[in-house]
Amino acid sequence: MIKAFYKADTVKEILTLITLHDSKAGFLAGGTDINRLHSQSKYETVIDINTACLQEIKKTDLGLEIGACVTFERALEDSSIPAYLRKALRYAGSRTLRNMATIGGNVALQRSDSYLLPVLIAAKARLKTIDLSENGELIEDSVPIREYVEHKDMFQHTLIARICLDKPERFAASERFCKSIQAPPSIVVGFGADYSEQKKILHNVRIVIGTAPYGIYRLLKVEEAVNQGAIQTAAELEKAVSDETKAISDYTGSDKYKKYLAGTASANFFTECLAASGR
Amino acid sequence: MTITCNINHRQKSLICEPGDSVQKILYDAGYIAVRNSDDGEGFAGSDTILVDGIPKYASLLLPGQIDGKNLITPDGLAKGRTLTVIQQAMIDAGVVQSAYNAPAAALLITDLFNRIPEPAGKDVDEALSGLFNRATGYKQFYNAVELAKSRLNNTEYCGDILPEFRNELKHVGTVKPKIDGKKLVAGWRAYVEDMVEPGSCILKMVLSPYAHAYINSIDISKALAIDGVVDIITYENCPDVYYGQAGQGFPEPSPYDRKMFNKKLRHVGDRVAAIIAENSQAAEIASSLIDVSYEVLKPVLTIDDAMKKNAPIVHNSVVEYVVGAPENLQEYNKKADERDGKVIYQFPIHGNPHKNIAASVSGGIGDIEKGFSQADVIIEREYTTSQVQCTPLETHVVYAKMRGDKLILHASTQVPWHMRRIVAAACGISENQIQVIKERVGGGYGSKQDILLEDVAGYASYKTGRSVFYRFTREQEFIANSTRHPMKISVKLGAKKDGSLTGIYMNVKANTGPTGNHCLTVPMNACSKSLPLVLCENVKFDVTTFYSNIPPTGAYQGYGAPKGSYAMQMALAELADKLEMDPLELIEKNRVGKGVMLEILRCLGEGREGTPALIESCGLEEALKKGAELIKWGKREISDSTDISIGKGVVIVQQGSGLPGLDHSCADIKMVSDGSFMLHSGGADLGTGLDTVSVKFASEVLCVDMDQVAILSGDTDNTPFDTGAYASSGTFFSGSASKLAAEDLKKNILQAASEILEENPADLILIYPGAVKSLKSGKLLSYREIGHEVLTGTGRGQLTGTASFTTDKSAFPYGAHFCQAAVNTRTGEIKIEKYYALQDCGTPINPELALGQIYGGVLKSIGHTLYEEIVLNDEGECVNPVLRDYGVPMISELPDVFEAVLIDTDDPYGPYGAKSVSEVSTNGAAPVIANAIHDAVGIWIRDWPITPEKVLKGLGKF
Repeated sequence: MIKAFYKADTVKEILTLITLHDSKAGFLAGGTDINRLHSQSKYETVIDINTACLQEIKKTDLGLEIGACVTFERALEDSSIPAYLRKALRYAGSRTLRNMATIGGNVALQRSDSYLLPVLIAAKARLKTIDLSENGELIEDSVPIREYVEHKDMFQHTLIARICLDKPERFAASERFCKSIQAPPSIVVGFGADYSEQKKILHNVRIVIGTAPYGIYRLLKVEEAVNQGAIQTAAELEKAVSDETKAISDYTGSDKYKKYLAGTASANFFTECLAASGR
Repeated sequence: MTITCNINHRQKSLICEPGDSVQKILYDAGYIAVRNSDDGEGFAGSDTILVDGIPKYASLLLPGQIDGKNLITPDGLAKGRTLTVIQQAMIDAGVVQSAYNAPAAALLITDLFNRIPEPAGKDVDEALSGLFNRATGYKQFYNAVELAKSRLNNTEYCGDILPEFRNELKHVGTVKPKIDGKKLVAGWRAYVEDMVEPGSCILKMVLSPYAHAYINSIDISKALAIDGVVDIITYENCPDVYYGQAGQGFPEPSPYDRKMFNKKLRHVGDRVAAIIAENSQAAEIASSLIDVSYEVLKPVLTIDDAMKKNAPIVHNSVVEYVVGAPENLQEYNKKADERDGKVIYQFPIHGNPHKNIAASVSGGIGDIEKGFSQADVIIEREYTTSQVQCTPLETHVVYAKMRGDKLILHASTQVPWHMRRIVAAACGISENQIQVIKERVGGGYGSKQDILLEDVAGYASYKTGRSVFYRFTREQEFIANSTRHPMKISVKLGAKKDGSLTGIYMNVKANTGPTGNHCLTVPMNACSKSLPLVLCENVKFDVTTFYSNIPPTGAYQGYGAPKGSYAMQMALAELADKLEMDPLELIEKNRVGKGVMLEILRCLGEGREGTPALIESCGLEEALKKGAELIKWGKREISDSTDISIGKGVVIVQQGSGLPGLDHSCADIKMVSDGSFMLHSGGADLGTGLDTVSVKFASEVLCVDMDQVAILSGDTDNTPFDTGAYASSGTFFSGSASKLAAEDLKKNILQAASEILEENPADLILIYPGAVKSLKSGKLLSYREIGHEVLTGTGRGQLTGTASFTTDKSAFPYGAHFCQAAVNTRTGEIKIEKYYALQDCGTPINPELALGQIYGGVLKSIGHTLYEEIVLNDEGECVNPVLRDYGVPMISELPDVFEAVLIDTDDPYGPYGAKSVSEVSTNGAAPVIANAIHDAVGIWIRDWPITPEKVLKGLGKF
């Protein structure tokens, strides 16, 4: 039950408040989850983080930076948002929901049915984070998003300030398999890779799976096999991904179905990636 | 905390808690069009508001998020009593029907026009993507936007032109604003929740966590001691009365197999205790203090489970019969367990509760064995259907209060008089001590035919003297509300090489769940609305319904027909495939038409012998011809993608128009002293426009504009009896009663005028707009003059007309559905590219509303076919009791091309030639989509929902 609501005007104020209220406090960005029916968030104190500095989309020398409090709909209105992210933003099928949901919020929630995480991990996005030091100073950091996901407990009171997309040449894509557009997905599959013109191969491959109850995870062995050239065809990749995907049977589909989808989606992306690279 | 915001251009301060939902705060502050359809799921959009000009779900917002903001709520759109152009366009386009979130839709469309002055179809898709609409299937929103655009820009309307019928009539068949459209779209007080008075108690139900269990003991003492708790009702202190919850005509074919509370619990969500409390906090605390000891039993979840030799017995009850008890009943009851209570049949329906059989029936015509022996080809297939939910935007709700010794129920119901009878029986009082007032119904679709909460809320109010408000949560809608009976239907068809049918056998097994709600009639309906569609001399059917521990079942739009239609129409397509015939050719070869006598109906009565019926009107020929042209039947469509195969399907459908011989509708009408009219109809308008139908009929008969006829309907103290709005009876029965009452009044007007004019009544006629004219003398007498004259102290008294309508005549609505589906063979995804529903509903009285109901019915059934399913785990718990997880279709799921076509027929028995429209449209989607999938990829999917996984399995992908 939420007992206190704070609206902070500065990042420092936000982090001071969250430190003060410790484990019972949470950040409120768009608010699509905290007050939602059956929400897993059990905060007693929420801190509204919608300050101006977290709502910008800007191009920098390092790439595109999207403020954590930028809503899905606002991002879709911005032409600088890359196609793979636009597609993922639209997985939230309700425009009303997209008016509320924020990019930072979706990343921070780390739900297994996350709209954005699979493709952002596949794209090797980075997070600009801010913490408060013990002596009250702001500490900024740039964290690979995969690290943020793998070590989520370490970032509980870390504020995501911006999401940085600094690899414009990289192929990234995701697919979300649902019975209807707004139904919960059976599985979400993300795929990212760089293409080596010199070696004519894909490398730095990332294959990301989102499915309950396992959450968001990567298929490291398969990625390695592709990077090492042990997997060279879409058919080989399809089988390997299908074999390595962890899934359970639930009301969204059987484990076999989910594994099949992971394989076929990955194979499809593999083919698309090669085609996009001119091979 | 106190927040301040600008709401609808006025500064407001609101006192609230930090964790409150903004939806609740706004509703409680009087912004009643900010409604709750999903308990804060952030999905249905009934709670949409604009925050600084941006649409958001109010139920997801915390008060702190609107502090200092500018808000627009749906009730802030109209200026006083004047609608906006957009709101009026929505009424005129036919999208304002049950309308629970029509105000929110108006707000979203207003926002759309604010952002994009010339919105295109894709902009409408986006704008309404966060709004769930169950009644009208979204399609007419595009028309509403086009209409609003043309009116705002003063340009010509570019949308679909709404058809009109019967040029010789003034109101019937024409597009006229729905008479309650204004208050519904504007968001004025209309629904049960809007009637709740300050200081009322709430009822919180403690629900069974187990699908099958006995209550060993229950201790409510600690809970009763909580400040604010008024009373708690359990099986220990509830009335010792057995009844059924099915709102059917008395004596019901459904057994009385429950009391208000029972020692045996038969589904997760069953009633354990009702807490009546002065506030929700007290009720919440009390619910945690009720100490219940359970003996948990193994649940029965499927038909196969129920049929097993040593299956747990859901009703190991004492069985009684009001009439027709079998001779061995005493012996039979020796095995009963008193904790299971009783099952009381009003008359035999061949149940055997100790074998989990609630009801069974068999019948047929001709000689089935002979029929199959004459066949060149025989196929036999089994089809299964899942459990789906009506999901009305307004959940089940009632407000009960005492006025002196009278119990008043403000209800959202399809059956005010059945409700009064059942609640009276449950409370042990006479029916005249109860007044049921049907408020506007925010979606019923069959589930509000059942008395699911009014019995306990009514009793609570009667017992305590307090006003009691009880609203189902969305989760209760899934676990404690009527759903479609899951079924297994075997169909065996025999045919000659030329496709003519020689024999049909249908074996229906149905799962009725914890009670025998509609247990005979829904499964029978699977036969009675599918078998009479084809010509065959040898037909046999068997129906068996089983008790189980799944969530309750009952009536749902289409009743049993969608399931029977799925099986029968798919079997026909499979037969055509085996015969290597075009399925359309096979349908044409075997379908019924005008002039056919349906002998099969003799054995398909509802718990009694039926009556053969002659088909007096049938639009199947035209529907099939037009549909084939629209979809380019016979042309193979090729996709640009190698992954996608495209196929087409066709089916025919039928329903009835009420229940001849069972349904009964009454109406009366009186002339008011200024010459206008007050019509009292027993009919229950569910939002489908029945009141508008009645007013149209009376206005037509009395030659006045519709605004000269006011209507009061569905009020058991102030309007005459009506069996209710179910079985597609509204226009045919309730409408006929209104028409006959007006005709009765017409006679009396002419008689009164003849006395005033001193002329022969035979020389007088009614003329528009509201006068009597003498054909002999040419004299005119206005209704105003008549209305005054008869009430002057020397006149003949108030002029009235009354009617009681019954009939043994049937008027069958027919239709043909065509579908083009694209199947992705890599992912299994199914996309409905084109869907044409061509419906013969006789004369469409309200064409725009009729079309809306067809779109709504079809999209519901597309939902059932492709997306929706109540999923239970092994313990009988529903694992997806929220709208998103359950899978209701949104605007994004509309077929790319979606067209409803009204086929014009004129039925001799229907009022002004009308037949029913809404239910019949739900019968086509499942078989036509399945058939199109087969045409696309060569696989038959014989169980719904038809999911991508089943497609992939069928294709052997894993």
